[in-house]
Amino acid sequence: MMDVVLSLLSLMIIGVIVGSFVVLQLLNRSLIQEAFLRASLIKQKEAIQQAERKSMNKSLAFASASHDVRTSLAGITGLVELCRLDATPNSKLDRHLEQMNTCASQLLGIVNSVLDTSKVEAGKMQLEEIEFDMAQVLEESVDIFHVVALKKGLEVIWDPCDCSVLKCSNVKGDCRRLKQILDNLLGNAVKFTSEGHVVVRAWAKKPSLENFKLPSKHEIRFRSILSHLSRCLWKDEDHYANMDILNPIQRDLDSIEFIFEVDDTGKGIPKEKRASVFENYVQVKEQTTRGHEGTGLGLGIVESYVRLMGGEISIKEKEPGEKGTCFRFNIFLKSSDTSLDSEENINSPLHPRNMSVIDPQLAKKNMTVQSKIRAMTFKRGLQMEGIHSLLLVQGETKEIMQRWMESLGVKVWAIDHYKLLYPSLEKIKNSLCAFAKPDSVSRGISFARTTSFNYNKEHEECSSSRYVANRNLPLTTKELLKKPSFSGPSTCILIIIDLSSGNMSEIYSMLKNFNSSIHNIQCKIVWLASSNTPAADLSSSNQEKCDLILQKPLHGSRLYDLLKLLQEFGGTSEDDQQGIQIMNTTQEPQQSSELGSSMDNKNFLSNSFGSQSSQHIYKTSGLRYGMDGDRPLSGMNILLVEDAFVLSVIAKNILLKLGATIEYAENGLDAVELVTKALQEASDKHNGATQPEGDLKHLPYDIILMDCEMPIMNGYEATRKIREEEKYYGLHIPIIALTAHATPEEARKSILAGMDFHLMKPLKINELLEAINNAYQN
Amino acid sequence: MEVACLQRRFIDLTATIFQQEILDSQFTQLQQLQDESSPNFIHEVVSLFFQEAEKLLNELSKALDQQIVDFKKVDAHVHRLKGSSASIGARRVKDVCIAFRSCCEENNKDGCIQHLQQVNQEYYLVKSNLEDLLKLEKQILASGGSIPTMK
Repeated sequence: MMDVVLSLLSLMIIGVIVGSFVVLQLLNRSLIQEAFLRASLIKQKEAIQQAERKSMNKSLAFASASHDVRTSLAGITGLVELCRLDATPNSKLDRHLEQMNTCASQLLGIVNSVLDTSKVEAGKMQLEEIEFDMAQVLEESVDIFHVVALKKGLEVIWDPCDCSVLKCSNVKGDCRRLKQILDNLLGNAVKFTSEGHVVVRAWAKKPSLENFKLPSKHEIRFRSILSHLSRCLWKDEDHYANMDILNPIQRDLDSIEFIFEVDDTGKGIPKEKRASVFENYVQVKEQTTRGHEGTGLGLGIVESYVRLMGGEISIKEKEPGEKGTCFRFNIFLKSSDTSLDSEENINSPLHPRNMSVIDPQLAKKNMTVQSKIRAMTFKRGLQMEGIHSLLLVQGETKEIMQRWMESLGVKVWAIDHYKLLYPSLEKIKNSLCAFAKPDSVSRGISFARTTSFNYNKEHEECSSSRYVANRNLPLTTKELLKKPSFSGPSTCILIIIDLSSGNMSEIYSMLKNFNSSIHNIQCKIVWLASSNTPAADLSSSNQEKCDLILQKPLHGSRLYDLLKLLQEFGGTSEDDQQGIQIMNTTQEPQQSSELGSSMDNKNFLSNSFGSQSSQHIYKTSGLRYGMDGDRPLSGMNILLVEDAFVLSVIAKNILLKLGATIEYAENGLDAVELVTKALQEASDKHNGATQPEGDLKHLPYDIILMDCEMPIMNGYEATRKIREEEKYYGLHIPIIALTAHATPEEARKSILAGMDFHLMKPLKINELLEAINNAYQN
Repeated sequence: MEVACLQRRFIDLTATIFQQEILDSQFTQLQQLQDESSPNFIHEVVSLFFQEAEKLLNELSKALDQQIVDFKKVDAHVHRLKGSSASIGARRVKDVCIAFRSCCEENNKDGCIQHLQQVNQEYYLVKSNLEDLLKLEKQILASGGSIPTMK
């Protein structure tokens, strides 16, 4: 019995020992495992920290690298500037240097924008609000890509469609980001297209009442109830804010919707990839990226920017059979076009409305006024009927030109080959004379209109209308020999010829022959040059009859020049005097083309960047004394009233430079005396005959510049006295106040005293011109 | 001295002047007004400014020396000085004038005296800089070079 118990006990003890041994082993193993795990955890943590440090280092390195990049870019910009000092202005060299400058600043923008991408991702992006000129931005971007694409043989052009963008071009918004969007899309388009063209189209739409529904009273109440509810229930400030976000754009009646399309004839994007193209933040890789690399921003960033500006971007379906891609997006921008309305430009026949445009130097400083004037010109359009236009251009330019001119009411004839130039000119002439004299129709000339007139102004995809070539039409020598002399109404022909169309000397001789045969018809010739036009061609075209030389691509500011040329025909304006002037100056282009044949003479309108830095050759003017390029105020008599001697010297110099004649008064009292005397003299001269109110011809001074704070009698008092005097004569001389402060109180004081406008001291040229402009538009 | 060296000094001096806001964009506008028809424009305007400023500074120190200070007169002088310095672009002088005027409004004599000292300092700073600039210009033109324009 005892043995059994003993053996059991010993068994148990052995079992326990074995068990504990096993357990110990297991424990050991798990301890070891834990140690391993701990070690690997630590390693992982270290790896994470290292990765974070790496990325920090990367961004730090990039930040410091970007400083260096910026320094180098600044260096390049500075050196380019120095080179420009040596280059003759408006020469090819100067233009290339200017483009280099723009590229360098674009590079700078890229560096900044890459730093911005992180901000965008964090959702903290703020849009800037600066005034800029939409037309100019489009033009600059397209010009750069035009040069790049020229190497590939592509045509890059901006189609103004219905010119709505040119009409309301002054906007407030984020210019830089818009440029980045355009550059990215254009860059992609050029990269992926090996032949054909890239067209940028843009429209501007004012938000009409249909587009946003003004909430009815019920809706407002409902919305406010909802927002109150949400505030109570959710106690969430953001939610309330969200309701406001729903209608930010609609609240802003000032905003304009801009719709853009970037259309290329390249490889196209297959349907399944279209969504992913926007999602990836990495640019779609292309094996053969030659030349321009693109902005480095993915389409994803483009989409974010577009969305921030209140719009949407998408890929538009093209017509079946057309290859390529078309990106379409819209954005909303505030218009800053408030000072020029369509009603204002009608009632001022003799007023110097157009003066700011012609001056080249001041135009650079005067951009907003200038673009406003441009917008006005586009709004005015053409008053004249019966203008015919002959185009000898290739490609997209032809289509766009044709559409634009037809929308203006010009009859367009387009030909493909220079040999057809003379016969088609004859045809036009005959059609004009057939118009004039009904019996000449019996000559039996039947010619089909060679162009299919697309009068629909709605934008369509490039119409594939084939032009019935002139070659197919019967050309009998009879037609060519008959040179009717007719005394019909004078009509006009505008001939646009691309300098790369072929044998220039033949073209010149054809034009000469044609010119000699027309009597009543005004004929103007425009040459189109591009960056790779040989210099010899340019100089020879200068010597021939030439009204205008434009640089390709033909858009934006060059369209403006063309429009002004068209407007010159037959004196299209609200004023007969102006018309007479223009009739007399049709001889001028002949003269100016003979003056000097050097490249940078007045005739050469180059400058692919839209700023009107070269002088125009047509000297037609809106000013009664005829205008000189430099002196927009010539012929104006200005009274300067200013006590501070230094200021008066400066102001006098400025005004003299602008071509005005000056009289000077030291204080308010002297000013009033001068004005009273002058008014009396003027009225004595005309012996009390009643003058129509505001008749310019009899104002003693065209403008009075009145300093506000002067001894003896200050500006306000003097103005009041002058207004009293004026009542006797029924006149109103525009008075511009010069103040040292720009507080609203000062503004009120000046208006109460009777002043028309006020400017801050010290005097700035562009502000002065704008003020004078405004004063004369009222 | 070599023309390029002079030009470089000119550029450096101009850069410093503009950086320190001794002169501002108004001065650039004036420079652009000078051309063949008025080759001495800047010189004239600058001399006029010096004359007027020195006269005003004299008047100011006389006025503030009095027992009973006529703050209205002081204010008028400072206003004129502000106007002329603004018109040639002497930014720092103008800024001190603005502060000076508020002291005048408060009839604060000590503040005015302090500001007068500041104005004097700034004025002499701008004067010496302008004189150096004009001298460099003359030297450059005399050695046949052209004045580099800054944008």
